[in-house]
Amino acid sequence: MKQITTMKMPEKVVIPVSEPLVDVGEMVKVGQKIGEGEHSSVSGEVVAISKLPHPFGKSVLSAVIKTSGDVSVEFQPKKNPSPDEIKQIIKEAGIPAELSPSDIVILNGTDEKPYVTANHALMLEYPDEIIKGLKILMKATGASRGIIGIGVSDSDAMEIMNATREGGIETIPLKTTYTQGMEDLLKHAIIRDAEAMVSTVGMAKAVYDAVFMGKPLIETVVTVTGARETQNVLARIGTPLRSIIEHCGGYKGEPKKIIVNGPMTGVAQPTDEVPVIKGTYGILIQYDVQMEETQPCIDCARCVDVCPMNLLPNVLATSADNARFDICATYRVVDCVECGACAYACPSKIPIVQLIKYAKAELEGEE
Amino acid sequence: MKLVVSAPPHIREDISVEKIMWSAVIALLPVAIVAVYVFGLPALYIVLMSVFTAVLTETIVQKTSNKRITIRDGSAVLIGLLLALLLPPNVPLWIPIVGVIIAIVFAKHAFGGLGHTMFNPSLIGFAFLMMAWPTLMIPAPIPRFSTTLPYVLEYGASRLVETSPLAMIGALYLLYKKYIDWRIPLSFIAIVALSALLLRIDASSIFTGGLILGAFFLATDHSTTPVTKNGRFIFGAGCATLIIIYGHFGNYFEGICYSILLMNCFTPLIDRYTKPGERSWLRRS
Ligand code: SF4
Ligand code: SF4
Repeated sequence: MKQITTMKMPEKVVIPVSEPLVDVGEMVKVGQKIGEGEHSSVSGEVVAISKLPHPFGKSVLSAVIKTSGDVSVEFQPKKNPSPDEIKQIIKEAGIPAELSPSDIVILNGTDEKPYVTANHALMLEYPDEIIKGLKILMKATGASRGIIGIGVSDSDAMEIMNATREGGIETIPLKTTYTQGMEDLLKHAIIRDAEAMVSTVGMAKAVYDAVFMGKPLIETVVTVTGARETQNVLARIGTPLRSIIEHCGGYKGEPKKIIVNGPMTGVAQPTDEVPVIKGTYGILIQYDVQMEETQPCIDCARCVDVCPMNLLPNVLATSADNARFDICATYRVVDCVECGACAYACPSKIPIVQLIKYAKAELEGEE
Repeated sequence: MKLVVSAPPHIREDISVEKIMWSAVIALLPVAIVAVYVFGLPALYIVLMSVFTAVLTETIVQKTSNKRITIRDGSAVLIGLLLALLLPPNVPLWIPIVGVIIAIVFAKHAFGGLGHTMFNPSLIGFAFLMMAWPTLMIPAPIPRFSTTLPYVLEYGASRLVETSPLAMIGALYLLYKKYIDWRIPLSFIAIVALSALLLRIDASSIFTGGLILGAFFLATDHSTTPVTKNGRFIFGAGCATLIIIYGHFGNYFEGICYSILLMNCFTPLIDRYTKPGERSWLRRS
């Protein structure tokens, strides 16, 4: 079975651009640069440039492109680029990766199972590309080792990556799922001291596309869960969630909540018009959302047991609630990676992560 | 289409305060039933009276202080049941009533209710009764039957909970469901067992219902025990050490109760000394 389905061209795309290089009315091609590190993912006409809803919060300046035809700029790969050239290519391709000199490059291949399987699908579908992309990253950062962390339950992906990998590259089974913000934790779980760079298998694939195909980052793999069909979809950046959900058979009923990215850390959306952006890996639709009543903390320490950072979420939440941010600071609230594990496990349904974010913001304001 | 926008996480574990408390109550029912089987109706009356008093007292306290009635969360029932199990079957019926009132009013609600208690309410009730009416709390000598099955059916038991350590197998379910902590019972039982081995004490006099109740149900009470992971190991070890000392010079069963109560005093201190420290590997921007 094919792991990843490809969408037909969406009617329009909405692409965040900080400083647009194009004007309304202009025709653009697939892969054309429309901003610094931003490219059009379709060909068609720029019909609007305005502030539009963004999946991670406030509205941002975005270009709306109405698609017509499928004309692409010519992609020009570079043969045998030097480390500096690679860095340049990656930057030009708009790949959000920070390349610093490292001994090791770690690729995160874990997913928020069962809601998200995008990394798993990527490894099954593009093992060669991921390995080659990783090699490129190693070359650019001067790393001698590459490590791919794969969820323990994904033995098929593990097998494929092991069969494909080359010298200097290892695979490691991981029990925990590492989401965004948990890079340091992932690093710590794999190695202790060495300088390491952390990226994802999806980014390695994008690096491959940029270097070997000359293609900028204009599409990404997104797991859609909760539509009529659960699928991994190769979606163009800027595709509105609605179009992707339609591609997956549409809604199963009246949706109550649409979440971009995984269930633990994802962001609930006010509308399904927001676009897929770089870094989107999941769309989760919920139909049955119960507002659970919060009860007082019973001090059961279940949150403590699950915190990957070994913090005391109960102390942080209670102190934040009492506006005792000094206590939050002493109890290392800054270390919290906002993974949501504590709030997930809390029998009193206390919004621990929200309280922690509030404390962090207050402390930052004080400085 | 009206969409809910709320903060993550967007999924929650199927767990609630009620579930945790009532599961503990259910886990204790078998031993209560065995106690009734062994001691007859007096044991049944003690259990029923304790639980009834607990529920009634909590209702009255919360009604008079205009708080939300929380008897449905099962915590009051659990306090009553635990205290009942600590009693000998020959106490007059007003003994559990007084003990439970002390536990609910003074040890639970005077401290702020569930989540704020400092000392295990059931143990406070027990300690109060022991101090006020020591003679009434002495178990009556019971003729030993020859049919006693060690660990399963102890006819020679002197208190409700001592009738069957095996009937408390439900504790394993609570552990499996992570409704109770495993660190406290582990260090607790391990150190008691080790000491028994070194001191050459017979296993059957160590692994009593009282020990199981202490390690799995009383020492794992939430707010009266440390929240840090390391702190919990220390707490269990502390209880065990005190039990050995107490049991060696005094009474083993009382030793279990008083040790846990004494360790409750140290909980804030243990938490303070085991609080999360700085992590050097964390790169903070
Ligand atoms: S979100 Fe909760 S569990 Fe995750 S690191 Fe922060 S405090 Fe710990
Ligand atoms: S899990 Fe919830 S109720 Fe339990 S200690 Fe943590 S915050 Fe309190």
